[in-house]
Amino acid sequence: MRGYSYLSSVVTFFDITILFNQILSVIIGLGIIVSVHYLLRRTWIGRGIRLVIQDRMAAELVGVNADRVNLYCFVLGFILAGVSGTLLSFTAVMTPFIGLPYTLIGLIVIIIGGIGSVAGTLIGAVTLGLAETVGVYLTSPSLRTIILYLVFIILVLIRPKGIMARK
Amino acid sequence: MHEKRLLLPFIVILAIVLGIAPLIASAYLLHLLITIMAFVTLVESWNIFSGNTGYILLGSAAFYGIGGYATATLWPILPIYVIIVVAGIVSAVVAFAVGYPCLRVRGPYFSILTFGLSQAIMAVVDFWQARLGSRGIMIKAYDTSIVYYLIMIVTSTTLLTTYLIRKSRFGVGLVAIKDDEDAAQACGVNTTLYKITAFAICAFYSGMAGALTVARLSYVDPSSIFNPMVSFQTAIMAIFGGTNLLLGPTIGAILLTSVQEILFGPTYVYYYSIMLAVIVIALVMFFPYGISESILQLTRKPRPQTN
Repeated sequence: MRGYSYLSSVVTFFDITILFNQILSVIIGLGIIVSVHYLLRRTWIGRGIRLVIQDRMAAELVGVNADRVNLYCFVLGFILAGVSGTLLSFTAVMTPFIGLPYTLIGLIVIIIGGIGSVAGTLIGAVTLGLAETVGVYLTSPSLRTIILYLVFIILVLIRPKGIMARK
Repeated sequence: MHEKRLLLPFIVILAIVLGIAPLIASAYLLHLLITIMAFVTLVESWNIFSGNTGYILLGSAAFYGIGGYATATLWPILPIYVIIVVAGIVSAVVAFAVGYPCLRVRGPYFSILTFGLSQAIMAVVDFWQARLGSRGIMIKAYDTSIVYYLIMIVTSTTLLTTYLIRKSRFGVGLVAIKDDEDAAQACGVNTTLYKITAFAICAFYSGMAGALTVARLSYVDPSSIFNPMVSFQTAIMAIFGGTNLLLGPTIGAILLTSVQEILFGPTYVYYYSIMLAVIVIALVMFFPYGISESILQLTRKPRPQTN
């Protein structure tokens, strides 16, 4: 178990005071989302990935190496997970067991946003985070987990295929 | 027919051996057998619902925990025989209540939804427990052999139920849901009723397993009885054993629980988790379609050559 704090200078905007590393992790996170979106929408690899998702057999027929695309997706996913771990270490105490809650939250956010939608993931993450924070602020911190999962259950029941699901 | 004639004496011998176990076995072995049978119950009840309908349930811990808490709340007023039935019924009622909204979503969404639901139930119980001002509840220590015989009855009832459901019209309807839900509905299967009934039966037996586990440990707290690892372990054991054979999940449960128990001995206590992980990964790589599929492939007669 180790806790470091680096880049922890205090930044003040008007009358809001915040740590510099928190702002930095938000900026890096947004940068990653934009670049993943760009990768999926505008590049050769991204086109291959979307093609394999839509129809693997057709993709192979037109010359996409589906196995290699799968490998790229897998590696890309782990790179992003690693980066998010680094961002987390700005503010959280690291232990070998820190992964499970974030894995679960990650799954939940993907389900809320709709599988395969980058914008949906962003909206899902912000919705869940806001609901949790505002809910805890309005009620009590001991209800934190209940609020989190209630919001998730309600959202899934309203929109079973995710917020950004295509019809 | 040949297999059935072999099976009956085997069951009788197994029942006699397990029946006289409390008289001769050590206390440690008895506790190990109780743990194994609790997992067999959980896994076979998972099989009744998920194995037949193809909806992968990741919320067994919810029913297990509700059953456990039923024991913890009812033990001063009721005898243990009544408590386990009540625990099962309470779990089944909860399953009926949550089943209707949950079973409208399909595929991976259903798995994650049931997982979220079990976490939500755990959070509610945790909140209630904290209100009582304690982390957990101590209950009276039941006689190990009584708990042993009860879990033996529950486990054999679960296996019998799984078998009967497989043979019945109900089971055929459930398998039709797995193959193609819309087609099954078009053929006149009341899919909603079938799914909810199977879900409630699954919850009934899972709750009984939880109730007896708490009676064995004589202690319960939310984070151990509602532990999400229970849900994951149940699904892993069942899938690893293979759901296409009646005893597949049972084999998976016995094998994985035993491996875990052997590794947890004094020799490997520091490398326990690492070795368990390596063994599970290796087993999954050797039996990618489950143990039962490998057994079926061994026993299946080679197809006659056509030309």
